[in-house]
Amino acid sequence: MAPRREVAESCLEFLYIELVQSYERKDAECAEKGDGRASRAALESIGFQVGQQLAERYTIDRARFADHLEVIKFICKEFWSEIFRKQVDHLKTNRHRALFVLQDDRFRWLRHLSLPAEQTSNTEAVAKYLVFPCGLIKGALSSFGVNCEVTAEISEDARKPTQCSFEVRIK
Amino acid sequence: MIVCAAVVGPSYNPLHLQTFALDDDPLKYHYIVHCALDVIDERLSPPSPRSRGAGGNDPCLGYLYSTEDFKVYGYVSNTHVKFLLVLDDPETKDVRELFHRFHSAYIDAVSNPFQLPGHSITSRSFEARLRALASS
Amino acid sequence: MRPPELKNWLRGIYTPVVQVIPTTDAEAICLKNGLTFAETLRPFCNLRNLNVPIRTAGEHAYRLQDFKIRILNAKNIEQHAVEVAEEQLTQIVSQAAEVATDEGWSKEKQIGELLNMRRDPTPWFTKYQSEFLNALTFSDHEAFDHPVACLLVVPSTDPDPVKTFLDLYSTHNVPTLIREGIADPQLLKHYVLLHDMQSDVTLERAEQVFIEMKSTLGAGSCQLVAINSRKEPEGDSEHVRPDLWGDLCDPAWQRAAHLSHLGIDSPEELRMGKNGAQLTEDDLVTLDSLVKDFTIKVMLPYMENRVVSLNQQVTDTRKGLKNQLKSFWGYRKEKPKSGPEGQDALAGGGHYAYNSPESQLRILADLAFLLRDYELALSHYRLLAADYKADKAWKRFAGVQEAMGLTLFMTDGARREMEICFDSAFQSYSRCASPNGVGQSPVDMGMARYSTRSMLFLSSIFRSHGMFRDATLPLMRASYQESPLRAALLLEQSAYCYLHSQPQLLRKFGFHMVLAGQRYNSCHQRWHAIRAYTTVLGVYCSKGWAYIEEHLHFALGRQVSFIGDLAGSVQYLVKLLGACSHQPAALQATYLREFLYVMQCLSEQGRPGGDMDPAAAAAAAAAGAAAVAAALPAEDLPLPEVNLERIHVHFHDHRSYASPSAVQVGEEVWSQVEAPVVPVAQAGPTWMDGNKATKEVTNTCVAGEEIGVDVELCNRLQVQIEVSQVRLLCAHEGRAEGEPISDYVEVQEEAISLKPGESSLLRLRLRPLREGVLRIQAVQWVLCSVAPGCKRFRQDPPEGARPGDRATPPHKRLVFTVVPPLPRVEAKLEGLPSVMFEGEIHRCILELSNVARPALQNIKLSTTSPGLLCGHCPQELKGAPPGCLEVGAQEEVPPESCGSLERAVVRDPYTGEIVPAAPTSVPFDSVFVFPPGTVLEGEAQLRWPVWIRSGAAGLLALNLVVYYEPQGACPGPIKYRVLRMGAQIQVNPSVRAEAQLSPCRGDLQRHLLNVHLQSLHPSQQFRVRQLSCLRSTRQELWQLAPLSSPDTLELAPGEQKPTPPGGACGVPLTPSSQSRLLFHLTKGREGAAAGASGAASSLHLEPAGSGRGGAEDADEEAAAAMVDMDHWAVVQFLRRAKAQHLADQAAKQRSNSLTRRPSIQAAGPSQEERADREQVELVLVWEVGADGSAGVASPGGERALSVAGPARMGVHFMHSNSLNAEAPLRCVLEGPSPHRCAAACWEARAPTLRLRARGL
Repeated sequence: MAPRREVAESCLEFLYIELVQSYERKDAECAEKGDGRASRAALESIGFQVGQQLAERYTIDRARFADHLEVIKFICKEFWSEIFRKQVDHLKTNRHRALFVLQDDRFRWLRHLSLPAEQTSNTEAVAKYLVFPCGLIKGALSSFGVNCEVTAEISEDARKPTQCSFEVRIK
Repeated sequence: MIVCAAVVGPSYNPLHLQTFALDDDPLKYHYIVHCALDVIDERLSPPSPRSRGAGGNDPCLGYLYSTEDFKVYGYVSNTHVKFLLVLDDPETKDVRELFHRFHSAYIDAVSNPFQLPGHSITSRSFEARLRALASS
Repeated sequence: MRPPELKNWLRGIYTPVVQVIPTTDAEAICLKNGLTFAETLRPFCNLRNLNVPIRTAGEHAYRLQDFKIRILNAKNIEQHAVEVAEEQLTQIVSQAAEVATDEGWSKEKQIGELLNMRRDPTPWFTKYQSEFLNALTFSDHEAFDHPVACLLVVPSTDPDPVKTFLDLYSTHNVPTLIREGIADPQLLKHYVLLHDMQSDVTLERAEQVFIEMKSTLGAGSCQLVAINSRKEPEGDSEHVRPDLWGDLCDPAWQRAAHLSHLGIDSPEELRMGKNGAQLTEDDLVTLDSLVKDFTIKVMLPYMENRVVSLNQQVTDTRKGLKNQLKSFWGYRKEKPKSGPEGQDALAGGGHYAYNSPESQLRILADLAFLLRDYELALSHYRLLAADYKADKAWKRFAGVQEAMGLTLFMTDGARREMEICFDSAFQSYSRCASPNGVGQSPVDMGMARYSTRSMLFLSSIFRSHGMFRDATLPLMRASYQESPLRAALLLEQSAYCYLHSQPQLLRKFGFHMVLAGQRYNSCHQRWHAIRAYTTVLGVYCSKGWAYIEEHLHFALGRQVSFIGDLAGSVQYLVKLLGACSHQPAALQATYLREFLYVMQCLSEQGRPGGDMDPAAAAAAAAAGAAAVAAALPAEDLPLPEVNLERIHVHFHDHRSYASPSAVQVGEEVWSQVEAPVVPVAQAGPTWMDGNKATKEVTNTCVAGEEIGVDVELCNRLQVQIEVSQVRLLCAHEGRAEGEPISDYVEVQEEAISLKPGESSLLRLRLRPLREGVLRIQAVQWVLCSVAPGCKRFRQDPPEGARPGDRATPPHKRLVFTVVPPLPRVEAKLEGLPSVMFEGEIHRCILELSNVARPALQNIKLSTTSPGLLCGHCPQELKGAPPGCLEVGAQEEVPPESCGSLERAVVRDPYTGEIVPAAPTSVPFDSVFVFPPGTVLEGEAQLRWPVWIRSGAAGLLALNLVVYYEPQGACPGPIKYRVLRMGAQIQVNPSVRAEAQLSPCRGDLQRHLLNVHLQSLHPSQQFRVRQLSCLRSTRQELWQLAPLSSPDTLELAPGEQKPTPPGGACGVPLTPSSQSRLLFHLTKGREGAAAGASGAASSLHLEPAGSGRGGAEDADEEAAAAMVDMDHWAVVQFLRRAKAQHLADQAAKQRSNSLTRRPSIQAAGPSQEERADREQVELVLVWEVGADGSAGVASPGGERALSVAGPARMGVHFMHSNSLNAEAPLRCVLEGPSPHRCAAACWEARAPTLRLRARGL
């Protein structure tokens, strides 16, 4: 197998930020046409495809998953650390296993976002940077045969600006 | 040697089928591969218990079945993509290693942004890599 | 079958054989019933609820509840020849096919349908199987079928029955098995005295005979049977007995063999009445009791004894330690190797006589098997197997193994062992068959059949245990080495095994079914092949396995067409065309050919060969077409693909176009051009329809005018296809029933051939003939002149479009409101040059022709391009430019015949009053109204002059709209029409001329005019012809006079050189050279100078050599040759040019005001005072000389040039600077080119100095 090729993380972050920005701009244009939320879908679908591809790549030669919980665990551990260099901090699941909450206290892709001073609540501004990761997770899960909805939440308190949690609701 | 290599999607739709035999009438191999899916189904169901290690969850299924003059080997990735190799020589070499290369070739192929997920793969480089695989 | 049933079935197969040897007379008696004696007894061979105790070798007895025997004629106790048997078997399959066709078997089955298929999908197989086993009976290596007993039948009429009985059993009458010494000749003999009640011999007589024969032959082995005791005439219908014999009778050929052996000729005339017509119930009872008694009282005991004795014998020779040791050491007495070595040796078994210990052993074992003492049988089989193995008598060994396998099954023995038995049986049978293969020689075939039999047993045993997976393997193994037909059957069986196995293996089922189909195909069992393929369509289709689908469809298409169901085959073949783009071209070609061929046949169905009268031919053709349509709806033909997105409709409503290039010009441009003439209220008929009650938006077209629809056809195949009779299918609303559509619409047909992968745009045309609503519904075509195709257009607006109007753009709309015929003008500009020089004036002819019948009136022209000017009156066509522009060329014409040039005045064609035209940005009078009362009749023409003056160098676009209205009241929404003409002209640079005035030193009345000329064209030579000075804004007229001093200098690019005297007048401009002309400009002095006229004072510039100061001398002809500045066209052009010039200046001012330096700002005056400052307007007239090749020519030559040919002439408009003192300074500021600036500065010094002096 060819040696792993790597890329500077800064490049990735710049690219990512620019991606979100550009789609936001596109939204602004589309806004008067009425479909203002197009970018959300676009970003998610991009994430979805990337997630699928990465899922394929990261599970090569790995024993097949037996059930959903294993898949989620894989996402929390290997998948997360492949992409974000760390594991998910907390994994909450409810009783009948249809709902998983992946909480990351220092979400890597939010590290370098700093809010303008006058802005108190970061949720609005940051939310759009979590659309792509949602698609990422969703794509990976779906390629493992787990159909689900993924939504993200940002912690309200300003002390932990980079804390966020992803809610995976398995259909 | 390997006479045919095939990739079959999660919904049992053929994604790629390539033959290396001289008299390549692909039709025959389509039939053979299609048949092999039955065996794969059998192997995969019932969902094996959550046993770690190289238990029932080993992606490499190994030997599936044999026709008059071929042996068919199988490999199922975590994403339910099925890889099949049709060999025509009786002695079985290390298919695991073959499948590993096969799978990574596939991964690179589907990482191509122009490759629509779920559509058949028509990438030249992918075919070239499989040819290399077959000739090795 | 569950195991018990299977066992029963096997018991039914393996039954002791009883041979019948009747005398000819005896058989004759029986034949009264149309039956042989053996057949007569058959119905009673199946004995039930007997409960007979049997005691064989074992101590304990066991009871037989039911038993069955086979009663056969001696002749038929032999194996049929392989070929015959195979023939029989093939018959069964073929018949099955014919039966099966009645039920809808050949339709595609869905998978679910397959899974819960209740009834046996292959009913014929059971029949085939039993027939197959039957054909393998009486083999020489098994003793199952060796006759056990023998019934000797003699009629009571026989003179000496006893003797006959004794003679009867002779070698002549025994079956071949016995004659060849394979079977044991010493059988149980049973003597039957047959008495015919209808014979003249009385029953008493018969009984006497019977008694004496009992005394001699032994009471136990004799029996008297009386039959044919029916008295009343046969054939009366009161008692109807079900035919007991039905299928128990021998096949005709066997019976024939038997009878001919007896010397009775062919049985046809003997078969009278139904079977057993002469037999009464009591006869049947007697027959029944005969069989029963014989079996129970005689045969079974005999068999018992036989077993016991044989067993004893074997025990002596083989059992016990001593014998086992013997056999262990392999020491056995030499077998009598008698008999022919040939075939048997080849068959891999030595020839064993019946009395050889092995044969004895085999007989014993088989008897035990028949008596169902399986333990005993098994033990002996074991012994036997060892022996045969030692002898390498493979065939016999195999037989024993097979028997062992069966026995093990019967005793529910170890399954594994049983499997091994059948396995080795299979192998050793195959070993006998010659290694190189499958049934070439009958022997191999025979062997193959045996091995197949063993595998059949095995698989049916597995199946009985519900182990379908395992059942498939033996079938497959057998199929590999079998003849195609049997292989097909076996494969099919294994396929069904896969289907029933748990978990279901659908795909394997499919695969094996397809294999079976192929085998069936190869042995021409078409029905079966088709059935096999259709069964699995559901497994493969629409799952993305293109290759497989394709294979199935092609095979099916072929087969179905072979059996004559062309329509069905088309269904399959057409599927190929849609989905074979991934295949090589050759294959695609094959598919296409096949498809077309079948279509061809279909269309020719029911057409008798040879020639017929046209009516019949037409009828046949129609029938064929109908058949084709029924088989393949035109919509389903996937070739060629029609791209609905690329549809484009071309039609004329109130707008029409003069040329394709005009279509390219944007609608907004046109609307701007039209604005002055088109009533604002009427933006177009489509808009008006939009206001109507009906929501449907339609295009409007005019009856009798052509509609064109561009349709893109593309050919996905890699094969060239011919598409012919491509036409639009349309419906005309308001068409009465019965009337042909051709009365309403006239449709043109196109033909095209598409290269591989080509897609081309085709313009389909139709012409509505009557008003109404016309709908273009579809495009029709015929593929390769065989297969009709059709593609419907989308009528409703596509998704996402807002409901109501404007949903589909007009050029995609396919619904038309046809309005009654209107006039339609086609126009062209005659003599329109493609290339012009900057400032050139050209006249060409606008030819309007009304191509429709109705007359038209109220013609207007509108244009936005300043270079275009419409002539006043046709008289302007006289003479050629520039002559017609010269003084005096313009003649007087009555004003009523003149058109008028006016600003937009729009007359509403509905009400007729003036409506305000749309505001235009056009700075000049852009509308030309033809003289009132100009009417263009139908198919009439009108020629009208048009003046063109090219503006700045570059591309000159002329957009012209011809507006006209139909004469008289016209119904329908269209009140007027416009014709849009567009043309583009390349304009090359010609001459740049700038004029500067400077006060003349010494004379305040005179001014120095300095005209600076520059030839901008690289190769073309120009000649400056005339300079005119227009009447100034203050109505002052300046006089021009050439400057008679050597201060004309020509500045060729680079150096300066003085021009020869008089050069000021003769002014050739060699390519890309510059020159300067100097004139005196004098105020006042009306009419004194030459060339003075109303609007301007002109000066004709004579070439050099015609005398100096030529103006005065050459007065008359100069005046004649002068271009008339009063010519209205010139005036118009000049006016426009002036407007242009002012606009440019204004623009330049605006741009300069941004960048102007403050100091100069101070010096120069502001905009508004400049406006009224006086300027001199000059017009320079030049001619195009010879082309660049004649660069510098002699004066004479130029003269020649000036007269030669239709000269092309241009007019330049110049503004001089005005006469104020600081003019030069402004000139500096305004000068666009640095060179001019320099010159201007040099000129300007003196006045500024003088000014300063004045200031002092």
